[in-house]
Amino acid sequence: MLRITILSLLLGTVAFAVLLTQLFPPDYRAQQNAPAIVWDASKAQVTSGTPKREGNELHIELDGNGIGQFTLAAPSIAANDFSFIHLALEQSARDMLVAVTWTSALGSGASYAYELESRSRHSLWLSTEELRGWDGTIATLGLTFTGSDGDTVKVRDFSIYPASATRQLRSVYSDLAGYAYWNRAAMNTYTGTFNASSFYPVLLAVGLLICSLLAYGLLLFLLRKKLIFNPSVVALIFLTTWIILDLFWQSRLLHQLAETSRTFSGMDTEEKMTKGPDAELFNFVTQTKPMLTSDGSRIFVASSDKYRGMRTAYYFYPLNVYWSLHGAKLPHKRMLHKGDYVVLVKPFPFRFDPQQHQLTAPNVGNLKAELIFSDTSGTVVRLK
Amino acid sequence: MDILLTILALSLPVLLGGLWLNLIIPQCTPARAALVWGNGALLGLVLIPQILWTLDALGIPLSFASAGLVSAALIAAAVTLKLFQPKQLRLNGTSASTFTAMPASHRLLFYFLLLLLIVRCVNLGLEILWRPLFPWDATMHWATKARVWFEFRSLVPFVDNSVWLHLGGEGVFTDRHPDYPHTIPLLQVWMNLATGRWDESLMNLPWLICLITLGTAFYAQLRVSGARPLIAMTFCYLLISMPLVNIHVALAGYADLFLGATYCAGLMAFHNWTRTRCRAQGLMAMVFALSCLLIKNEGLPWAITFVPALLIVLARRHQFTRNAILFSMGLVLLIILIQRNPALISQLLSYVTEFHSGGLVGTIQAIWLHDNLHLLGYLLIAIIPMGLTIPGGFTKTYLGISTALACAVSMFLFLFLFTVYGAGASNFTGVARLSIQLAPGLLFFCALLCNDLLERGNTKKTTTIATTTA
Repeated sequence: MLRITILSLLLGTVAFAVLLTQLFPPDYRAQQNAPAIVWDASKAQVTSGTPKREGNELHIELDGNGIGQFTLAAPSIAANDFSFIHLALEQSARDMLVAVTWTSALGSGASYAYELESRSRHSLWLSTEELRGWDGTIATLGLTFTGSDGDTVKVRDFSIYPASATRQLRSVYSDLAGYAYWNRAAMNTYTGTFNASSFYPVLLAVGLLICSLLAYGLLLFLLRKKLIFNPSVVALIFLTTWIILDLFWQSRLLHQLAETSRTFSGMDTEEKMTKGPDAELFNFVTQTKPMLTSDGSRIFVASSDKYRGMRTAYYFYPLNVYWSLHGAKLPHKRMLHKGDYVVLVKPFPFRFDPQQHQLTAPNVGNLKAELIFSDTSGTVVRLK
Repeated sequence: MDILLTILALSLPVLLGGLWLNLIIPQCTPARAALVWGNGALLGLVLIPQILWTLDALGIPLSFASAGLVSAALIAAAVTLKLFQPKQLRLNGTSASTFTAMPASHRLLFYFLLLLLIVRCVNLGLEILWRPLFPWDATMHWATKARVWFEFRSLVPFVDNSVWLHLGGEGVFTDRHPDYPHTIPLLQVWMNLATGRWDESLMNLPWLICLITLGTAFYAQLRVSGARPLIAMTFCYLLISMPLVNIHVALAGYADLFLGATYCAGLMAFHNWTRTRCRAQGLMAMVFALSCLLIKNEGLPWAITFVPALLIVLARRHQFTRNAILFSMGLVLLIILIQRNPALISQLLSYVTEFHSGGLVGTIQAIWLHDNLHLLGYLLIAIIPMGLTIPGGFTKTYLGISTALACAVSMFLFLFLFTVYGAGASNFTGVARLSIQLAPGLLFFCALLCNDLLERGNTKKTTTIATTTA
């Protein structure tokens, strides 16, 4: 049973790889005849940051604004001639943003950028098919790095290639094996893909499953004198497909864990907050809280950004906080009392004039208030 | 010290539920230990917040000592009762012999899957330990209550924004969903009471315990249903490996996993009660069905799915009058509900819309295209038609559980296709999250059908070989 299962899976994998590359090739594969533009560090034009070249590697130190940028010194290229980009980077800062940038040679020369979602950048194959704006003639193509002053990045490869079956499979593997950090939508859905991915992992798994089952059917037909149908083989093929799909997910979980460990391990709650994604809001609230009187005063949190408003309100608990998701940013004037605090979290549609001691709120009117605290995150006033 | 107190805070619910279930679950039950501790721990996680709630209702300030003492007393009572319980005949080594009788390759696969599960749980546990509270709703309406109740050592009332304004915020607090049940915030309060300080990481450890208990109970109930250890472990792995289930543990703070776990625990016990009429299973089914109401408001429809399932199961064995009584009871409840809250029905009707095509597309994508539940969607569409070939499968053996699940899935689809909540499917904010409340139960159903089909396949094969040999 085990041998026939493994054989079915191997045959299924080969058949699926052939089907995938032959039935779902990248667009324009048939028309592509341009040679690949292979990485040559000496020809890359660095427009931001300080370059240093070692062999065929380009080292860039980000400038004072935390920007590094280079373009390939290639003449204009036809976008449809190239289906894949291969990137190999090593960056000093984990949170550095990397974007593939290009400008169109047509019209006003529109600029496009695709910010790499995958953090797996040691060898990343990217399909250009899903890149918005990858069309027509491309005048310049390069990479832009955004981080902090002094961050460095080592570029070992940045080449573009026409379509081929092996590159397509490598690109699919890059999509599956890549990982990205948790985001706010993580609790709602897990697609398993990036914006530039060509295929959903579930569909790939189903494709492999069907091909392996067909391979088993074929083996049953060919070896009908020796083999009889065994439902356990079908179950094992299904389980193996599930495990393969799950290993990619498990790998992402482990990468995420490594990142979480680097960011938070060994810290107490307070320290974690000051390093976490809401560090700015948490620090704002921490600075503000001691300035508020502890006589049960009410705190109204208002912001045009729902997330920032909600998170700030949360950090004010266990004080008596009011924050409304869908309602008015601030309640009607008659509901507000002297001594109430109003926390304005940027961005907000209110105006506070410290000279006039006046808070102007749309749909509420003018309110007399005194400034308690203000910084780049927001402003806290007490109503008079 | 914090580590010891945290371990104690996690152990008490496990012991509380486990030792009480240990009293009622018959000794001869397959995979008894897993059944007792899996279901018991889940029960304990639901019970501890109720103890806190009761203490508060009695005017006793919330503290780890008082709630811990009550739990310890209940644990001691369970131990004492066990000592005085007449010794039951135990079928020695039934589970062990089933396990050792497995071929070596099966045992190897069993351990491999177990290893994958252990790696997963360690991974998720560390993620919880290191990460502070992260997800949106957790800080919008779950941990808000926990934070206030922990600080005041009392269940200070939470009210709607407008009521809060009307009362001038005097003696009341507000958040996005003040009407949500108290269980989840109180579980977080319990963890913080243990260490005496607000810790946004440690308070989420019950989510890991919930996942482990769900997996353990799942395995055990499949074994009770007649599945072999390898099949039970395989489906346990399928359940625990679902990405969105994992995410709800790693980024703990939502109630969906707890609701999915209690609903599934109720369904599993209900199914095994319909098969064996074991009182312990019946009791567990009832307790877990009612627990759904204590977790989240969506628990109400899921709990209601047990009513038609029970009616149909009883209708097969008992008189028409019994069904009439049950039906009348349901009707009376409905009338009471309408009397107490006449606006409720019209309010519910106001949510109903025309067919929401975007909701349909979103639902299909969430189940069959996105990787939320790995291949569960495909398993369902493959196994259910195959299950129809099982003689008496849907009309007898699996009648109860299939009725409950059919009702649940119908309500799930109605919600996203014909109500204002269709937007939750078209923008993927609600459909997948709600699906993990049903996914464990649906997977259990798949496991039952799959086990049945495989057993029949094996029997047929053995018969064929025997006939050929003869």
